[in-house]
Amino acid sequence: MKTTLYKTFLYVCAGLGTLVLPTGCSEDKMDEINQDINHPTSVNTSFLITEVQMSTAFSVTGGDYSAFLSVIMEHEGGTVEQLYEADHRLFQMEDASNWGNCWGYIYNNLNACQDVINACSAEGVEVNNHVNRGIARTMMAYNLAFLTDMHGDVPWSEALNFREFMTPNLDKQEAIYQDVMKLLDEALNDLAQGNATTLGAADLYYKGDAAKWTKAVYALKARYTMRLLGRSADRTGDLNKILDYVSKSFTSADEEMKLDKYDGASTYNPTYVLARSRDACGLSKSLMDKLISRQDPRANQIAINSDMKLITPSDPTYYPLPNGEGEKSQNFTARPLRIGRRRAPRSC
Amino acid sequence: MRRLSYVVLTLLSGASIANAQNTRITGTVLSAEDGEPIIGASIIVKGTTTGTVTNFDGTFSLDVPQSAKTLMISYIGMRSQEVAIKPTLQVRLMADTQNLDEVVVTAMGISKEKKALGYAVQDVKGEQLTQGANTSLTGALQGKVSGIDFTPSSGMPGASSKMTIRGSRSFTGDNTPLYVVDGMPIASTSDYDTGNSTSGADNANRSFDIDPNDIESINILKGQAASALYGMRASNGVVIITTKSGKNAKKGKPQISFSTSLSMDKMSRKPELQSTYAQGSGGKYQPTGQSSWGPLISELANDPTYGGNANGHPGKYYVQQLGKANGTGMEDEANWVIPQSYDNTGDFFQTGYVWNNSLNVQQANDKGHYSFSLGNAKQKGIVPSTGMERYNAKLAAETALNSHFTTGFTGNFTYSRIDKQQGANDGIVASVFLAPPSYNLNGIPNHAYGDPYTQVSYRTVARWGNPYWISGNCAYYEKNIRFFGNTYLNFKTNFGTQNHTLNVKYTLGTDAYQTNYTNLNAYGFRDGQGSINHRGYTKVALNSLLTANYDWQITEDLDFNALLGNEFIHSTNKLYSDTGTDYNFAGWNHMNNAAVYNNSESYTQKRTMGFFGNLSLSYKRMLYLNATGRVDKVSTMPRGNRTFFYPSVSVGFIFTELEPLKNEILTFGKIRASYAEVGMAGQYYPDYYTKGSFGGGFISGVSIAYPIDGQMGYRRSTTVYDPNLKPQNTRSYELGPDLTFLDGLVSLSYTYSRQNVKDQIFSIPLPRSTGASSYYTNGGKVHTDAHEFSLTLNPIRRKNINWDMTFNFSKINNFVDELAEGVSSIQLGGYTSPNVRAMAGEKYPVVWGPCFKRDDKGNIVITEEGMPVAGGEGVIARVSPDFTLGFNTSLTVYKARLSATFDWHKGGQILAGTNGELDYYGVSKQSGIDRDRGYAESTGVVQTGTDSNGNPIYSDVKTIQIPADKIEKFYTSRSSIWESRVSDNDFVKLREISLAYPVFKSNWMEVNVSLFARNILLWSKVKNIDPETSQGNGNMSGAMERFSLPQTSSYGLGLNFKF
Repeated sequence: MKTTLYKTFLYVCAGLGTLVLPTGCSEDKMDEINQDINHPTSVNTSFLITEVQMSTAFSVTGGDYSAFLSVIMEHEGGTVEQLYEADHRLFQMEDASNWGNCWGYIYNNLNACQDVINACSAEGVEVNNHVNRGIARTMMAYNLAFLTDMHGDVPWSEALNFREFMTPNLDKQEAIYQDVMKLLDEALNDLAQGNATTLGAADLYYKGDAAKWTKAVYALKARYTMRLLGRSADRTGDLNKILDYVSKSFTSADEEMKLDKYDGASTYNPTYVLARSRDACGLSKSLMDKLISRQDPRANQIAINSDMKLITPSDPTYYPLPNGEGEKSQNFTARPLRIGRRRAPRSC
Repeated sequence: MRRLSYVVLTLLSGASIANAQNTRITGTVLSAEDGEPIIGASIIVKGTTTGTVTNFDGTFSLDVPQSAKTLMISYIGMRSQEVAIKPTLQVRLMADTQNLDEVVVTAMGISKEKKALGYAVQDVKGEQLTQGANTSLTGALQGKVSGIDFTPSSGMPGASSKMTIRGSRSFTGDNTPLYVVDGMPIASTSDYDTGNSTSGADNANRSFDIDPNDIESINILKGQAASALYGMRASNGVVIITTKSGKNAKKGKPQISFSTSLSMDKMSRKPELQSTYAQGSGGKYQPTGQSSWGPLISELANDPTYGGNANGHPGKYYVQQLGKANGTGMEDEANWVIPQSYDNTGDFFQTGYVWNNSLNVQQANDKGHYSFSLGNAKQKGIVPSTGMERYNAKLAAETALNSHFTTGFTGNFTYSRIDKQQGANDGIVASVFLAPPSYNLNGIPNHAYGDPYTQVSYRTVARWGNPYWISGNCAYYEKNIRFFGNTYLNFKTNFGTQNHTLNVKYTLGTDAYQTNYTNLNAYGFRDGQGSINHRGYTKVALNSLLTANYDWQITEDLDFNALLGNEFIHSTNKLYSDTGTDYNFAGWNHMNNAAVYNNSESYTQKRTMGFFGNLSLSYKRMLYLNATGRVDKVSTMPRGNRTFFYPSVSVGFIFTELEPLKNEILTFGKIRASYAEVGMAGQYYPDYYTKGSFGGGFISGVSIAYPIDGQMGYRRSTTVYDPNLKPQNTRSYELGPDLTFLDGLVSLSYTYSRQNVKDQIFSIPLPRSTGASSYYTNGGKVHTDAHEFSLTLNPIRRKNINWDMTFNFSKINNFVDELAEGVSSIQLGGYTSPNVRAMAGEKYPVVWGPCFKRDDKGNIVITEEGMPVAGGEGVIARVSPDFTLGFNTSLTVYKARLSATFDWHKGGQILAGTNGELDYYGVSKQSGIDRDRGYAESTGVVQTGTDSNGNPIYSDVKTIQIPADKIEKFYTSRSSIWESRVSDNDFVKLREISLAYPVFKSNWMEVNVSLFARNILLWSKVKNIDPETSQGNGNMSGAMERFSLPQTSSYGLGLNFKF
């Protein structure tokens, strides 16, 4: 009786064990359990293009670079914390901690552009979306030129390939600019060939209009050729090329390449966000003095006092920041960054 | 009833008799101390499983085989004795002050005698845990166990803390031990990492759910050999918690215990601030200035713009904020005040309290036992609007179904709510500490006239709001509801023999909880339209454990034990997050009022299957050998790398059992040694895409939210995973003696352990130019040398006076040997600079940031003016202490009992960010002293020129006096060199002190009263802050502090009733 009882018990245990074992932990079952259902492993190129466009406008052109450079160039005055230190030249310009975030965003954009180019090329899944490839090449050229303008020699030929190059080496700026110009020429070629699927609203700048993109590319070619005039072998020839590019480019302000999607509700102009987050900018006295002495009508339109009221320079509370000499205070008159600029477009 | 149980007892006593060749012996077992009979003492024929227990008057009766020679008599808390068999016996058992024969719960719920263990364990009894009435379990362990490093984050209700045993093994993973409650592992960490921990509210650990009042004992398995049976989860050691179950209750009527305690909390340390200088900068008053570098408060009436002396309000000055609050201007007399200084910090922090109640009912009878507990803890924090409430209910029961089967269950239910405030960057502490002494933060209303949603504060509220407004309008809380428990069936047989025993036990347990977090920023927060975020976790874990434990007493001297088992764990985790931004109108801070929505969710699962085995051999109760092996298969690793095997071996040799070594002085001596290998798994995912996100160094809050104009954007995740990921491996060695002298007068135990971790799994930072920012792979090596030393003395051991003390010394040297090729450091948290890092060649962790420029001799370089010079970046603080020493003492005089726990941390440094901020903003006491005397002092060497090689030449060390008008500039430049804020972090704290007295004792009731105090800072090297405040609840905890929420000291009274 006792023997039967515990023998039965042991058989039951063994049975349970054999039941659970094979079904419970096979490699296939484990794969199924570990499946990442929360993220996609591939997306259409249209989504990548949207993201690159947003990120370029907000985080690159309008990001931390813009904050510091505005103060250095005396477009703004820095009143407190890091911008105060920039204003008074107390901080370390080359300090990696200032630029770490935006440097990363540029490479993320370059990576996304590379993904689009690959997908729209020979063995890719969207091989007939030539316009997408052209847009990606243009955005890549823009981001790359921005990167090397800011930092000089940067990694490029060994970049975006961590499985081969875990610590990419620097390339010379000359080689990078050659790549920029090549990308723009290839883009022109692509844009002329049309798209299999319409980009439409996914293209935040031009809604997929290849003609407008072509104009934008010519504008960039003109801009970068001008930038390289100092190193030009044939100045006159290049100047003529510039005139040629300009003639094929924008004919009116509404064709400019800009992001105009800040709705002040779910998306905000980056300058507004900076002002809201830090409230560290004051009206630059040197800039205002220039506007006043030239009797520029904008001088009466851009001063906001600490009560958020628009004032003119003759107002008793007008108090611009003397560049490099102001005390730490958030009392200075400011540009109206925190009111009315939520929705301002940001041009590239 | 009594008669029935007597009959049952007699039957049980006779149950194991099988043979006819027996003689009957009878006897009594008494306590040597007071002669009282011992009920339930165990009598066993040595070398067999034949035995019985004493009954209500301490007597027993047993039939023993003719061949039997010796009986083993034992009882919990008493020293076991061996007696020769005689027809009648009287045995007197002595109290086991050394706890030599104490039985402890080791891995997988197996009870073993402490002396049989080949590795280090330390246990803490329930009464020791609750003597200070600490509502947090981890807090109650501080100072009582060697080898553990404990870092609380603050004294706020439900504050998180980090506990590690023998250092850290993983750079970025979880280094906290596994918590096992009543045989089942449960979740104990916080689900939400505070990330870089530079802002936001804290998140509690799940170990917070355990009520210390319900704990019978805690056993800490410190090394990997001790915890090897738990496989991968036990790399960090195991905390085995046994809750009250009724097993140790005296048989008979139920034992009821009710405790209540009330304690008052206050800030453990208040910073010293100046009270002479007003708001402003450069000596000039600024009504909305962020600093206190203004004029003397007494001179405010003379201010050209706001002073009243020249303005018709003699002796007063105009306060702009009062005007805003009253809706009037300079014409209103009510807005003109006499300048004076205010204690804004003292006014803001209130006295908190903690009220703790717990009820326990236990009962045991012959067939089984049960325990029922109810607990409630309620706390109001020192920061207004903070607090916590926790309810616990537990029921555990076990009963014997027949002579072979036993079944039981235990179930815990917890509900808690913690109300918090934000710390660090976003926090309340910043606006309170930095409030200028001239500004009446408490008195001036915190909102504009007729508009409760527009804040009024001493400075613009874009970053730091008015703390009174924030605590009154914004809410940050978490609510948790949890059930964990298990049910089991145990089958026991001895196959009808006397020396074979088999126990087969199956346990099925679950740990299920849901935590919901809410962060509510009201309309008007930071001059914006507010936001609300609800997020939460639902986690369910199912654990099935089957063990078979076979014991074979081969000969009288040799015992063999084998354990085989299977464990199957499956857990699921659902996470959601809903954010609503920008309320449409003020006054209704609700998700339904938001203008923009952003939601996300995720669901993950995890499964582990393990098989384990344990073989032990013991010889003559002198030599103990133990070997374990476990094989695990986990779902989280990549295909093909999922299975791992971990062995361990340990040996314990009680050399004083050798006849020639037995002596009166060294009454017990044992050597332990062990080796173990344990691993840790990681989480592998194939490359994926994710929604775009937007930020920058300057940006806070939501700035861009997809969809934009109806469009979505995706990009590659910047974390990439290694498809060849393998588990990391820790090899540890342990060696040490346990010695007892003079029968327990002095006992000491020392353990040296070395852990070598290789193939660490962590995210290697990649240069951003690769397109990715981190690569999750194996790499890196860590080693830890740990010395643990416990010394217990019992100098006075008399009937009415007893004094004992224990020293717990730990020295843990935790080094990062290597990270990965090309990687010299990885960031654990903090700002872009300074931050907390794991650095190759340094102890773990260090703080990295801007340094002073120094000459070759290491002197700080200053300019001729006295200003400090920046010298690049480097390691500015080394966090881990040289050693920690906990001192516990207990003095019993007649019936009163005084206990205390002291804790000394020597060495280690902290980045005390707050101190630099107090100087920068001109509120610190030192900045006031400097202005009073007209100069600040700056000590260092000055460059006097350059030599022929172009190298600078420096003067001798000198002290330069910086004139009054440059003091502000001095502190501003100093503050950006974060090395100036590093301080040595030695401290001594009185963790707990309590005085207990039984005021009433009778047959049916016992009443004890106790007075206690907790967390009193006695001495500390760092200024102004409590040395145990810091940012973050993860691996960076304890390193960096900047406006962290303060610690608290508590004073209270408790009552305990026993029926």
